[in-house]
Amino acid sequence: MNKLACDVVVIGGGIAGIQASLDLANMNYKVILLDSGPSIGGKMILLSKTFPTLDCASCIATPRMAESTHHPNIKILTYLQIVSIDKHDSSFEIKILKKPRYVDESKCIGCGRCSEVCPVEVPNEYEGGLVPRKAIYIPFPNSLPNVALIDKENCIKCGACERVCPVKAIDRNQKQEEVLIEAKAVIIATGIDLIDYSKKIEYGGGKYVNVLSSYQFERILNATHPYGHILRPSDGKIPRNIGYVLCVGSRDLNWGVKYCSAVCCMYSIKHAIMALHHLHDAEITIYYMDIRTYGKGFEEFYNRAVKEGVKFVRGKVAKIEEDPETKDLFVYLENFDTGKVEIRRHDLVVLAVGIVPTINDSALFKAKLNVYGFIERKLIDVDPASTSIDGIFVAGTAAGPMDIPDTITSASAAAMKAALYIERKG
Amino acid sequence: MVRTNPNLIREIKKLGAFDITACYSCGECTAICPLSENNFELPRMMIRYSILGLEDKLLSSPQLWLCYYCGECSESCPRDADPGALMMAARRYSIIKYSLGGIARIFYSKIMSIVSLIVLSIIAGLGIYLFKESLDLTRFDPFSLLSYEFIHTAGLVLAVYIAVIALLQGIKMYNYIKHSALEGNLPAGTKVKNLIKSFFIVLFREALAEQRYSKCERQSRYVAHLAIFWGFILLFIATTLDYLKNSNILGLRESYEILKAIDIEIFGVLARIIGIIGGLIGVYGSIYFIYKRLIKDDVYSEYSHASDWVFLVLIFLVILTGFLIDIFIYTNMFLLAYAMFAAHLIFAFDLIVTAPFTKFAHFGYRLIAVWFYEYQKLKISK
Amino acid sequence: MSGKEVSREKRNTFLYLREKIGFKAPPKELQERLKEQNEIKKKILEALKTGPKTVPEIAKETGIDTYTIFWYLMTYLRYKQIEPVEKTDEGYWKYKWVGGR
Ligand SMILES: Cc1cc2nc3c(=O)[nH]c(=O)nc-3n(C[C@H](O)[C@H](O)[C@H](O)COP(=O)(O)OP(=O)(O)OC[C@H]3O[C@@H](n4cnc5c(N)ncnc54)[C@H](O)[C@@H]3O)c2cc1C
Ligand code: SF4
Ligand code: SF4
Repeated sequence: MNKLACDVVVIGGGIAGIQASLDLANMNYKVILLDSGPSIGGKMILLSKTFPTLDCASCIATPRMAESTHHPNIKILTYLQIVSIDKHDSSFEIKILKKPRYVDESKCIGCGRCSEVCPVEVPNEYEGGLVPRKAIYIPFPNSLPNVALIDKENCIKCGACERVCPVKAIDRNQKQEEVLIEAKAVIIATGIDLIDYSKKIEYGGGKYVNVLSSYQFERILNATHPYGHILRPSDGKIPRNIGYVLCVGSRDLNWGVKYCSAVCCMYSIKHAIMALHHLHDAEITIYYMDIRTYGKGFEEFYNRAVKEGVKFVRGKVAKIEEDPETKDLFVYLENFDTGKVEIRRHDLVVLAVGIVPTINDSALFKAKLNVYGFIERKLIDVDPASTSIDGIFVAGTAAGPMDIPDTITSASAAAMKAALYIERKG
Repeated sequence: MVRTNPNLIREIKKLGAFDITACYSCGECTAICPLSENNFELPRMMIRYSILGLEDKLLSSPQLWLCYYCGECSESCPRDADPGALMMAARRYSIIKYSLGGIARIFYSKIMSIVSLIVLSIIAGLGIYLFKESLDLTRFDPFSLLSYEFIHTAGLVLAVYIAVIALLQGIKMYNYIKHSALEGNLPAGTKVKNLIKSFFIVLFREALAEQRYSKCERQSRYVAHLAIFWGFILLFIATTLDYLKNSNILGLRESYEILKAIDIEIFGVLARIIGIIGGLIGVYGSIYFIYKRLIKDDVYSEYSHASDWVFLVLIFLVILTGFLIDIFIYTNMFLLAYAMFAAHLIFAFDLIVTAPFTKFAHFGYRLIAVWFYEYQKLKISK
Repeated sequence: MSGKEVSREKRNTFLYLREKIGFKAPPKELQERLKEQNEIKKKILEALKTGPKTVPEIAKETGIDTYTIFWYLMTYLRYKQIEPVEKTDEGYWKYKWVGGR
């Protein structure tokens, strides 16, 4: 078993984890950053732009990712599973299982030739399943480490990738590896997932191909454009008439979660503005219960959307039906302006799906979770970075829904608290 | 000017809409409701009226009666506010408000309704005891329990009582709901034509077939509801036939040649057959609902107000005793048949006297509302 | 592990594993899916080689549903084997085959 030691282990390599690692590393602490996925970057690196400034998300995230990769005080481990976290007096022992990528990380140069020749095509999870990827793949264009991996379940063992690899990086014989890390403090930054809306049968339960999650739409709008343009999945048509449904699963005791997901209103407005910029004369309607523009510049962003022609209709969408022929969609709602039930047709419907914590094993992370599964903060109003366990801190959306600026603030706070904790222990 | 009743929501909550203040007015319930239509939206508007205390607005909403509590709204409400229960509670509230002098309030309090039912039963029992004749135990002859004249007069009095109260309360309700009539004026001729046309729509589609009810998802519930209704009607027909037979066709048979030609026994045979069919389906229907309200596995049956139980049990008892009379006659157990007959009369008396003020009144108010609605629909379709 | 084997492993891990351990054949389900995929892709390719086409046009020619066609077309796009060349009035792109082979 491999053994490593450091000052702080950061679990989760989203923008929160990266920020916390950078802050600690710049204060001269040794950090090991762990991510269960094959690349760091989390949600943010996959976003199109950020509200309310419409800055390019990956342009902000990529330099930070790169900095953390090259920082002498940071070691990044990806594609792994946390096996256990144990606290001994003043230190933590974190056991991880590094999964085999079947590609030698130190050799691979990320040229992507292997995926070009791989004959197997399966849904690309990073593109929300909208387009295929190969059985050997680099997660996404600016992933870090920029290294391929083989998806064992779908590999047919033809060997094509190995034959073309210019640096002989492919190693189908790789084994999983256990690593034991000793650290003085831990930061949890495991981030968020989208609510599984297949439970909402009234919205087609995920069966209507032209009903997209906000994440999928985020990808369609992204500069790397999986479709090349804004098109709809059923037949590649340019959508002229898009419906946007807010509060899908959020604030919904019936099948979703009780809380407000905090970012959906704003990213929906962002999507609407971006889609209008691309599609010019398209009609984009946002169906909402409340527009929660609570932050700086948010209300102005909403006003801008109204001015640019985004339609806002108050009324929660109760039901979506699909025309089996054209795959067009009909949304049912009570329009509050008229008090009437309306059935409206759209080429494409996007669901602003609420967010839930990724953590599903409370015993593993030791720190107490709140009723929703987010890490419980010790004192939410005065000590938001501390958890129920001394020495374990929480950063970003692992503690609850928040946008990127709040995530970064929270990450820096966690880094600071971790540093103070280590100093105090001496 | 709109008057508000600040206590409205409190009273309606007490009548069964316990969670309704959780509503954040999103309209999901209205959009999912299979019966919601343009100009007749339900239920969110009713929720707003209740919460804002707009009592007049609430009582003038025919939509209250267009709802059958299929529960789809409650199943999809993101706040678990149970909008269907609000509709039900608002109907209970309307029955109280539409009733003469608000007397129906009695039947929406558990203790008061039981006390009044006991009192009514005692009155009925006493009446039977005081006016009873000598029983003919060799066969079943209802007039050997109570004389023909007595039954005749009592029946007439009850019929007039029901008709007068129904009329007065119907007018009271109409005075409320007429305010929600749609814009537009039609020539008098068309008006009359539409009025008649909508009346027949109501009669055939609504009263006899409960077609709107069938739009609700659960077919078993629709069938059971229809079964109670038709069980009731058939038993009523059977009783009437029996009555015609035993009264020698209202005592007219002697005086008219044509009536003499009719074999009077055929009435009895028909009455038995119709009675047994009616009894069976009626018992089925009421047991279905009693069962549902006991196991509470559906949205509408999760909560049962005392008035629901009183109504359901009374209906069940009336149908059951009516049915048992037939059974006992058939099996020649005449004494039991008389006992059942007496019980049947007592329960029927309870049911009829309280009908305009209990859940029974649903039937009347609903027909008025649907008639109004069908009429308004004809108005805009023109 | 002898020196010879190590060098063999270095040279071709697939071959090494196949000979040494006996690689299991991929599951039947996966094989069938791949066969289907290749058939679909072949048909799409044939349709494209006769000139630029929209997704519905390819669907009409191949009898495959538009959703599946669009999905597989996107791999061609990813590896720059096709190019959107022209927008039709109905709002579809015509894709042109540029990918050799
Ligand atoms: C569709 C959409 C659009 C958005 N648009 C915007 C926007 O425009 N502007 C804005 O400010 N915010 C936006 N947000 C919110 C933004 O994405 C989040 O605030 C931010 O990404 C949170 O970062 P994070 O690091 O806390 O979590 P994440 O980005 O979720 O990162 C978590 C990381 O932890 C890893 N991880 C998870 N579980 C484990 C585990 N058990 N072990 C190890 N690693 C683990 C994951 O692989 C991931 O890399 C949007 C969100 C969504 C869903
Ligand atoms: S060996 Fe597996 S990953 Fe490599 S090309 Fe073949 S199928 Fe793809
Ligand atoms: S009752 Fe429920 S579904 Fe209806 S408006 Fe209120 S919150 Fe929405």
